[in-house]
Amino acid sequence: MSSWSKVWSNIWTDYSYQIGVASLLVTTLCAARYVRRNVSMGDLEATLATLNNSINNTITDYTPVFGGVEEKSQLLDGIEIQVMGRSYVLPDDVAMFERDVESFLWFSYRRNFRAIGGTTYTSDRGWGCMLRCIQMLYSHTLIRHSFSRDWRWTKCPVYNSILRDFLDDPNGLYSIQQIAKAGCSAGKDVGTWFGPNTAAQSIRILTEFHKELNLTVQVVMDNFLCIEDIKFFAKEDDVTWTPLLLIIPLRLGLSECNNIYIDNIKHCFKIEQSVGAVGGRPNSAFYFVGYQKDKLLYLDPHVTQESLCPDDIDLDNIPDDTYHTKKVDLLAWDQLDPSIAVAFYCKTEHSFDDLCQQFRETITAGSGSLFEMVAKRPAYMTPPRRTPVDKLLENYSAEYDEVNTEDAASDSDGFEIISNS
Amino acid sequence: MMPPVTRSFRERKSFASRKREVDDIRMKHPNKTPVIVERYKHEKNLPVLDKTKFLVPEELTMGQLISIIRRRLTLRPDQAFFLLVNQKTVATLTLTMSEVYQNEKDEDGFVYMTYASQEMFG
Repeated sequence: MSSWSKVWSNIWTDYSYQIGVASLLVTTLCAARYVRRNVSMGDLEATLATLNNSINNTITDYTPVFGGVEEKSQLLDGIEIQVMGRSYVLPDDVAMFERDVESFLWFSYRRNFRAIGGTTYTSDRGWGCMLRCIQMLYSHTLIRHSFSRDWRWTKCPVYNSILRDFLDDPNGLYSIQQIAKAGCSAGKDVGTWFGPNTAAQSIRILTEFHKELNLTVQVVMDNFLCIEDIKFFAKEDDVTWTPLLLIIPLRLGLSECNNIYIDNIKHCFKIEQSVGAVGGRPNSAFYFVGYQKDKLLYLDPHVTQESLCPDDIDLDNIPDDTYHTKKVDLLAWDQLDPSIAVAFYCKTEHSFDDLCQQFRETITAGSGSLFEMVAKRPAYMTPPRRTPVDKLLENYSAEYDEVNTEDAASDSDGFEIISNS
Repeated sequence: MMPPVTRSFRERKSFASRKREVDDIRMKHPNKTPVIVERYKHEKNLPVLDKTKFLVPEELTMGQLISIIRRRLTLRPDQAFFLLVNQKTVATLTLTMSEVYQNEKDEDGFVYMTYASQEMFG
């Protein structure tokens, strides 16, 4: 039986008296989703969220999605689950698996936070999901930076101070307000949707202002990882390694993912240095933490919670129950949006060298290569240079004027001739 | 407002006229590769290139071509830009145009490339 008919027959059995309501809501959602592509967000988002909640209450066993009802995916017993270099098999490892999942910081939509400077936004519902995902990825990176992959959720001062930087506080280092503002330098107004690269660039900029953290964030552009350039930035004095968060934005196809990439995307989560990936289903961002068979595991930011006001709580002992979840969802490969960014954390240079070696053997090898990796920069490329922190928030397109190739054009039957002399 | 969807090069011209065009231009410029570079039809962040048809030297690498297009579109270095060959795979920067041409050319004789940034999520 198809998943659709299964869903409907179950609904019929269990909720037959509500089916009229449910189908009406689903139809409305389908229509609303169609409209949503063409209009700006606002009231519509709020309406959608309300409808979403009503469906949620009506059909408890099924995960509602915009545009239809989809059978909720379940983790399978007896099949390996990979979560950032750790593997679990249910049901035996269920306790360890859940402990691992709940140790991630889970960030979701919040409402009633202090307005983002210069705007009236007091909630990120309907626009902040990618920002919440990069918060999850980055907070996990900071946990790896301060502890290790095997740290498990327990209250302690260091953990508490990491969480504090992510609270919805206009002055917090990595708050929703700060990330939204950092996006403005990339031409993203507060309240507009982010892509994986925009989110990564915002985090890169914010990290530059947090020197005492001793972490460098590098975003690999154009699917081209040049080891020499990464080391240039990670070793400012050419000797000491600064722990590195490496984010690699990818495009796995135009409207859908090309299947040649599936194994290598999955492989990313087998690598010890993995800190997950930000991407999603079209329009909805998720924080991917692992996979089982051909489904990716993710934490979902699309739950609106009340914001914790930093003024009202004990900042030395933050009530953190709403920042963790045991709930992990699954997304089938064929529903994955092609825009994604995978990320890795390397505490030492040795760890980075090891990562490159693993890239060479797996995810950059063969026809499904996710990106290209070279040891040295090709001669035509502009050498990297460090941007002074005070220039970070300005546009700096000047760097691209130094490309040597002269591309003076002349017309020939409507062709533009590119020359390299 | 949705931007008007423009028809692609392939949709505007018949196979026969595209093939004739390639044959003519290859005669005039035997050492250059005829390439079609178009913006992905659902792309909203990147501007449209003023030209669609390019004659690219065979020894130019994809990386150099991308640099030229990036500059032409006046993109910042931190802006996402992906050039997909045949709508399927992201271009390998170290390959030369002649290598790409050999592996990826269409039956009409052009190589088709599409550029896009990344999708946005809310």
